[in-house]
Amino acid sequence: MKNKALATVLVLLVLPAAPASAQELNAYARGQAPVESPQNFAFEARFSPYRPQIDDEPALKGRTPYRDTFGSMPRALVQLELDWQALRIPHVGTVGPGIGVGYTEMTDRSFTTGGTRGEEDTTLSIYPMYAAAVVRADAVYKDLRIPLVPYAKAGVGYALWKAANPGGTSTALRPDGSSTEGKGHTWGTHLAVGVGLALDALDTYSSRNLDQTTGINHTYLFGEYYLASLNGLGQDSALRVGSSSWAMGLMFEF
Amino acid sequence: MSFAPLRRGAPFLVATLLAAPVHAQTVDLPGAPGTIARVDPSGKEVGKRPQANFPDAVSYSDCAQDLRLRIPLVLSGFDTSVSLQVWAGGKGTDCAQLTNRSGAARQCWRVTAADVARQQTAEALLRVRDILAQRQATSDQYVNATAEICGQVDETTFTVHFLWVRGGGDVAGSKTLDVVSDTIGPPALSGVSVSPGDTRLGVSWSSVGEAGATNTSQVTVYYARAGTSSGTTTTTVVCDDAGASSTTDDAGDGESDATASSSDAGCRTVTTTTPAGACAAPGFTKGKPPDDTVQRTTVGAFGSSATISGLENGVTYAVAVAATDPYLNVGEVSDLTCQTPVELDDFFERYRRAGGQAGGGYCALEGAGMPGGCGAFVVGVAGVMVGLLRRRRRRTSR
Repeated sequence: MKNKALATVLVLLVLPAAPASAQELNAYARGQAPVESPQNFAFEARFSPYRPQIDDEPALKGRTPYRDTFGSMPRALVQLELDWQALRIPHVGTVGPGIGVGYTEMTDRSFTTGGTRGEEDTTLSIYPMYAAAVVRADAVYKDLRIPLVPYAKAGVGYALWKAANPGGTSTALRPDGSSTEGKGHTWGTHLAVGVGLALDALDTYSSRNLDQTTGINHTYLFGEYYLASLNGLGQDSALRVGSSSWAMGLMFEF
Repeated sequence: MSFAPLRRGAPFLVATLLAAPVHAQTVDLPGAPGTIARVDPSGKEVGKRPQANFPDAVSYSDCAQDLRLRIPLVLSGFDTSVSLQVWAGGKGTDCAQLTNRSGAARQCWRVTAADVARQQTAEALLRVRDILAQRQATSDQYVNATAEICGQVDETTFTVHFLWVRGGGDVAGSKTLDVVSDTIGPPALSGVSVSPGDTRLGVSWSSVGEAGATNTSQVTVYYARAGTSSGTTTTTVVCDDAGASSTTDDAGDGESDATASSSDAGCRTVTTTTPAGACAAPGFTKGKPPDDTVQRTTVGAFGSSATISGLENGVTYAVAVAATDPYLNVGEVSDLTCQTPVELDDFFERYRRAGGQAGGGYCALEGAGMPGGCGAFVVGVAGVMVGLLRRRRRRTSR
């Protein structure tokens, strides 16, 4: 019974990957892949919940100014990524560099000196970025016809951040009486693993048409877990704006 | 070819030619309205509004300042049998018709006390009040309008008629000039609220369309240190026909702009009492625009909020807002709202107070501790991009 269910799942996964047209069937029968336009790049549009690890800064000694101000609910991160698939390893997949840029923002009310919420907003904006090596094992799809492409990313992370209030960028007094601006940058590492579901497998004929007209070879719906350790790599002091979370989105190879 | 018809019509043609005036009197307004200057009562030229604010239209401010339009004229074909008179009427009214200039059905009014001098190039100096003075025209003599007319005209086009008038009153030649006028500002904004910030006050109002004030180009926020009202009684004479009003401040400085009386037809007296201790501030008088001494900040009409910065925590300020229309007429000022800025801690202040060390700027070395700061990052990214492009180009050329 268990084997039957497994077989059904496998059939469901493989079936959509079957070629849709007679020409393509003939092409496969002759051992030829359907004609594709050149594929060199990948573009991702992604969304993820994001909760920065600001309160993990050792200097805070367990105090939690971020959670006290903005609560513990994650905010939405919107991100774009562009990869250059510089190298294709036969029967494995593509390898190449990629860069990603995102934006998230959290807003809540400021506090009065009595500790109650005032009527003025305080905002923290974060622009997480990364440059990473990206490996996509698309041989699983191209060779085995299973429409799943596992991938991994590893690289350097970087973020710009800014704290603001209705008067502009926040400022705070240093112990010596001078003021410091509430904005800065943070270095770190970026790691991610994920899997993409090839949507072209649902309709190969339309996928080929899309390739012919726009140059988009493949379209994927993907899910990923990432670890953006933006904890101030090599920095004396940095706002820990990194997060570990899942993300999902659409990816286009072209 | 037969000349019979021509021969038959010849006597009529000769008669007609003989009956025609020897000269055709003309008036020209070269380059109008761009060439029309504005001067104050002392004769000093004043600037026009920016192009977006209808520079050639007449606003409340133009009327209140009793500005004059200096209109250059080019005249020809005149003789001593005609005089050049200047009249005004509503758009579409033909003031060349004698019945529109005299008698009970008169619809035009005379806007100069004397005729324009008969010379080839002349100037007509017209008071803008006189052009708007339809409500004050009671005879066919020069209207000589008063300041009351200001604030009574809401987006109306008047036509100024330059008429060559013969002794009998018939017109031998004419030229017209349309003058758009709007002297009434938008209605008061609704939903005004003021929230305290740290050395700031946040002011918000219903967005302009929602407040019904759609003809608005900007919103002005007025503010001043609040005083304590000792209680005032304000008497306002409201006239239904034009929305005209005048205000008397019984407990104020004694100044009165009373120009209408409750005994006038269509007018009534409205008395408003401000209780002692209510929000009040010097320079604000109910029913009147704030004094020039009152501080203000202006925002565009598309927003629905503004922030007043640079205030003192713990000090109470009185705030009011008013919309301004495209002619820069300031509308009805909202009721005063008093609010006090208070010291507030935002996220960054709380973070630093908790012991956090970050901050100082995107590229500040003291804040980053990173060799080269973000400059190194920018150079690095640029280097990678250039490398990628060069490699791709090399591969393409192979």
